[in-house]
Amino acid sequence: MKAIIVGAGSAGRELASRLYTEGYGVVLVDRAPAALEAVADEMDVQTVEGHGASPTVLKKAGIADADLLVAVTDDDEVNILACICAKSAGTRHRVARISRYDVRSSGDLLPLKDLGVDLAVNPKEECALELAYMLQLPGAEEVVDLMGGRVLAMGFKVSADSPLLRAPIRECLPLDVASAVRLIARRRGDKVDIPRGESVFGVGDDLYAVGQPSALMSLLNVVFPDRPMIDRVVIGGGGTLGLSLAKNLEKTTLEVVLIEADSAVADECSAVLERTLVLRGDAMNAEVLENAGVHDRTAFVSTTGSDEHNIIMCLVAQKVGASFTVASVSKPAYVPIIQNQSLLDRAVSPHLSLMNAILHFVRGRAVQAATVFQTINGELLEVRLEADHPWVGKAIREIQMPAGSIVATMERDGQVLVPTGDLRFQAGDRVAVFALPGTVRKLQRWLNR
Amino acid sequence: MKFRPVIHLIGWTLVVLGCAMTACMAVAWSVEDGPAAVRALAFGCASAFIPGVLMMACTRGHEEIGRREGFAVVVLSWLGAAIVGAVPFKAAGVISTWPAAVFETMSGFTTTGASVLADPSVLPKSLLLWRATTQFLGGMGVLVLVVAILPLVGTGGMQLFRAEMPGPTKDRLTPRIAGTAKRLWGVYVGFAFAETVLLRWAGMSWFEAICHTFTTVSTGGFSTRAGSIGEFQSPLIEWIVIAFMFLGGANFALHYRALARRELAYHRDSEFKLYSLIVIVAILLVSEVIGFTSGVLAPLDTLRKAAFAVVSVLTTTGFATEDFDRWPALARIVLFGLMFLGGCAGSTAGSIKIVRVLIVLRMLGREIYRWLQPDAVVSIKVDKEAVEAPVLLNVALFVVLYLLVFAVGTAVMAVHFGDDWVSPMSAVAACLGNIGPGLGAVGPVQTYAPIPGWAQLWLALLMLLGRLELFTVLVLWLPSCWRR
Repeated sequence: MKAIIVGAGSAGRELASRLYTEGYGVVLVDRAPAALEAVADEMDVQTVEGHGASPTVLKKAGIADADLLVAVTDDDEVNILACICAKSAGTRHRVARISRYDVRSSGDLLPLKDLGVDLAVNPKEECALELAYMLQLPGAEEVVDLMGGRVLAMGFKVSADSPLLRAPIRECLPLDVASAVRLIARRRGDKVDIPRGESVFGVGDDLYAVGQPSALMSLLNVVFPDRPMIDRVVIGGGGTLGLSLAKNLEKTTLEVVLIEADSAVADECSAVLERTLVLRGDAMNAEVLENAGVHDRTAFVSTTGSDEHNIIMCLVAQKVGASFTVASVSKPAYVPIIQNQSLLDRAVSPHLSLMNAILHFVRGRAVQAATVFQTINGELLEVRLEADHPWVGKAIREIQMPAGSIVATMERDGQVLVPTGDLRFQAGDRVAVFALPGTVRKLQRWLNR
Repeated sequence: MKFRPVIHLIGWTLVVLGCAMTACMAVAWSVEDGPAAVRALAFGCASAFIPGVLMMACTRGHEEIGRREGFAVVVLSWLGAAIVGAVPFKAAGVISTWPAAVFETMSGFTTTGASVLADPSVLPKSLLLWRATTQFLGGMGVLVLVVAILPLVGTGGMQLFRAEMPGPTKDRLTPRIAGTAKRLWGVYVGFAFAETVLLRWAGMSWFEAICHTFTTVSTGGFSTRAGSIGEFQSPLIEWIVIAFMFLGGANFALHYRALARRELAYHRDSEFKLYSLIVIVAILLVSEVIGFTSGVLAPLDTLRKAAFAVVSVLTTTGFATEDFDRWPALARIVLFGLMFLGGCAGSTAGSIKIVRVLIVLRMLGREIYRWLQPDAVVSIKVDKEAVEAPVLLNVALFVVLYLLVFAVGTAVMAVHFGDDWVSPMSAVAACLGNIGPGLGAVGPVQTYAPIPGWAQLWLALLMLLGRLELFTVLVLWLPSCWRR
């Protein structure tokens, strides 16, 4: 498998190393020789210097036998052109990073799909979506969406006072909670396995649960009785990330406040947003934050273009009393550093979100969709059961699942169902299966039978 | 420097060598070479497997290595290989001193082909096979083989590959370096298979066909006979060997493209064109010179003898059909000059390499032109692509360094040779360039046996410097390379 990545910025580099570990042979294309030299020293990838939209350069990169082209330069036009070239060259999958919203959603005037862009991603909007899920379930380590957001999968830590420590899982959860969520994975150190009914958990284990947002919320209420409750989100910065986060949050019950220093940008934000309170001011300033209503049930998210400002802003917000703070940083490498220092509650990076969206797309080819966790190596695979699928008509307990996999959730006629052993599959069901890394390939073959 | 992964990888190299030696031991058993040969190779296997397995067992390899570790692994593995590989020769008693045995083995792995043995045909067959195998392994590179067969963590393979196959051109056949290493070895083994069959067809025994194939495609030059290829008295064999020496001295990436992708890129490669041109001009020149003086041979025979000597020296192989040391001075001077050119980058040949010569010539042309037109901006191009300034500087300095090492090496050797000018100069040129036979006291019908032990070790070091293209070895002299 061969992948060509156009643009050796931090997104391109991070993507190169991820695709390399996925088993791809990676070719990186960039105009700046210095960027390529740095990469050539760090990674076992081929580098080609030149303009990413130039057919000669792409030919030199070996586009004729590539399986995947990902164009992630800062330039929408270059990315689209690279995809057009790739389409004529016969590259199977083509992904472009498109920052401008109107370019992505123009429809018939600029038909990206027909031009050759299979997937157009905007890192900031992907990141905004991730942030929105995270804010709905504060306390969770990681949240990813399934079935178009109707079902979420989340990871959380077992704390020292967690009720899960007392006994096997069957006995320590209230029945209504236990029947609405499904525990799909447990991580202890580097080891990941699938918990059974009789499993016992220890302090520091990471558990991964799947369920509807409300069910996961009540699970969090049980396992973290004194976790921060959030009813208001204050966003610092009204750029693309802040604005699309506000838009996403408007769909929830949370109160949203957006602070933007530039009055022209603030005007634009208020024109687009409906029930968000847009304030003009400097979010680095404690008084401005107090004025925005930051209190102990508030989450604060900083989304400006400067990493340093974002971190300081969060610290100020903590001082003012915010109970949950998130900073967005540009370099993916900063995320673990910030989380380990536990200065802030979370850090997110649009580049990481971009990568997840692309990996999601790349891996999801075999089955309908696949969702990837950042913190563990398992995958959630979604499949729609056709009438002739061998599972149809069988109860879950009758199916011999490959070891290391578990049915996580399913949807029938728009209704989310919790898969219990007696449930019988019907044609048309959408089923999500969680699989440990070693089982993913086997399971993909299995599901596609 | 991270020592644990370095030790682990050196252990792996020794195990690979041990496996090759085990194969030779099996041959010793089956052809009934006598207990001495079997015992000598068993000693060799033990000296490869015991430290190799210990080094692997005591360290964990799942650690990524960087630049410095790559250099250290390659150079130390080569030194280790030369010592471990010498054990069978010493244990069997066919070579009496340790320096001579190490010289012979280093000459094998670096595909030099300089020998201390006056008549190799008295050796047991299994030891002759081992001697040829060292050249076959060293030709494409032991570490390149390790990269091809071992799943290395992260950039490990790249570091090893870069350290063992340096050179100004970066020709990746696949985006992953392990894939490139596999394909290069694939082409190499494919050539070896083809040549073995052809030599057998031309009249050699299977055993001799294999041994000579191993030392031809690797441009090594060890023979199983005292009179080298010339002893077979067969024009057909000589032409086959000339062809495969020529192929071995060309870039294997070009061969891969031609064989696997069916795209003939030879005529578009300026290095290959210059390589062919040099071969043709030198053959014509030499045959003219030797044809005039002897005047007794048929024109085709003259041409063949000249072609064999020219291709053998230029590709740094070192086979001989004729004692070219007795040829007229002009022919000898041409051959001596060819020793400094070598084959193409990405080949199994040694010495300076044609692409560097090409770049330096173009730089000289540009410099002369600039005297006339000081404001001219002229970029140096190879195959229609401009070569970047840092690469140009590296190439020019490599040539300077090569000549400097040659000068120092000659001065040291002059201590032994005394009044003789030709012998020390050609001995150093032949060892540093991985050619093998030189002129004078180290000519094609002479051996390196009369040279004292210290001088043999010095020449062995020069072979290693030449094979790993100087910088890889010299960088280990920097103390900062070894700091943790």
